[in-house]
Amino acid sequence: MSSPAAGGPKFPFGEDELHAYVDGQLSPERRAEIQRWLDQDPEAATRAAFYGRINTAMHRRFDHVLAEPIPREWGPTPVWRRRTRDRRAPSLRHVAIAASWLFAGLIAGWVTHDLLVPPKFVERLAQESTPITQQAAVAYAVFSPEVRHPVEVGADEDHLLRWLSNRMGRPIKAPTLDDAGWHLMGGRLLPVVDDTPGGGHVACQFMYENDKGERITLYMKSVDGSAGPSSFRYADEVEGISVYYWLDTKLAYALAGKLPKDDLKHLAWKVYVQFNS
Amino acid sequence: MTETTHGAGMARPNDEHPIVAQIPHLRRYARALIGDRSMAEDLVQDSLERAWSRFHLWREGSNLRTWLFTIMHNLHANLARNASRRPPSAPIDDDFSLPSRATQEDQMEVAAIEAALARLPEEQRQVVLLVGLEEMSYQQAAAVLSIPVGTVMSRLHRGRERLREMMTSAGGTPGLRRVK
Repeated sequence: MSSPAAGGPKFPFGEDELHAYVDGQLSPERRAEIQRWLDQDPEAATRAAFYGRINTAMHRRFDHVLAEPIPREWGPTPVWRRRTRDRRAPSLRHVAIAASWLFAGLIAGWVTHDLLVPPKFVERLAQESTPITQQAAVAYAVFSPEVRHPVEVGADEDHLLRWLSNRMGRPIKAPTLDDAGWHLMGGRLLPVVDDTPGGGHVACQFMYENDKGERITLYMKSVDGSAGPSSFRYADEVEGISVYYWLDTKLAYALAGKLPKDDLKHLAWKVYVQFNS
Repeated sequence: MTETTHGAGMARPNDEHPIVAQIPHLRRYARALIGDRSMAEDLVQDSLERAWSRFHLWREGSNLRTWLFTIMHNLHANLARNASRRPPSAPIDDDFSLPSRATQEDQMEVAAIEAALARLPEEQRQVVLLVGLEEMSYQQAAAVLSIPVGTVMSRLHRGRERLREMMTSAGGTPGLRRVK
């Protein structure tokens, strides 16, 4: 295959195939052919790379929506309760719909019991628990297995706390857990979609690691404080993630990890003391 | 504090129902398509209401995801017709946090993508999102939008080229011109 002449129309395949290449919708053979051509055609290669980066950027911008909690009213509520405006007695059609519903539900429940792959972990979390514990557990589940990017800014970078304080709109400090064997790795900012007053749109998370490579995260987000401080609460999230959470007048805290309850409580207490001394 | 370990407000019933598993995808697409959060949420809720009440019409074995997206697309198309041309709104959320140690270049791309998408004609935005974000095959995207695959391809091409123009023009990010 000769090198394409500079300037002229070059890419000898259809434009469609360049897109299909980017979108992973080609056979391996065709993909390899196009790859070989792109190695010699910088113009087409640049475009293909840009198309791919559009896809990546869209994921980075919108993927956080996947983890938002699903409102109850979006679930399969029965037809006769949903239609509050329609107060007439149920027609035969309604009864038939309800019956088919019940049947569909029974079948679906039975079939999905163990035959279907359960919804993804994050999606299950999104349906099951309360906002703070859920958000903390999701953030833990997403970032704690990360090898290369567990944190956004490392503990050794001195702008970590300044940056998080700026974005959170209040002074943020990272509690020390070294004497318990847990070392601060760093932190990150997280988006929050939250309708509670004073909730804000950002949360932050610090991650700690012990010598065995186990990790815990401390998740914090702003609250309006009207509820006042709370005592410790414990939530047993799915997949073995435990969360201790509490409130003071400015922030909600959630400490998450795959640890025995008592160990986590001990650490939560250490964190609590450092914010209240 | 109103939170309890397993609180109210979340959809608990029928957690394993296949429709429930698709809700996050419908939501992500709606948010990216419409930009305005509450309008997008309304669209998803309306679509789900319709889907739940018509689930008996879904043909077992056909693609549930395509079916749900089709419902949402049709509803959106009707709303758009009735609303006599809403202004395209895509407010940038200043509080959006950028993911893990993104390079400077990536950060600019992520910040620019939403604004650039909002300026695309909707028919192109739909295709770019269904294919690039929702990772549908061209055939699935064609089914959702009730258009031929050839039309999907031409809209995809025009949409991506237009994004490229917008994101590499003056004020754009120079890194985007980089050769891979």
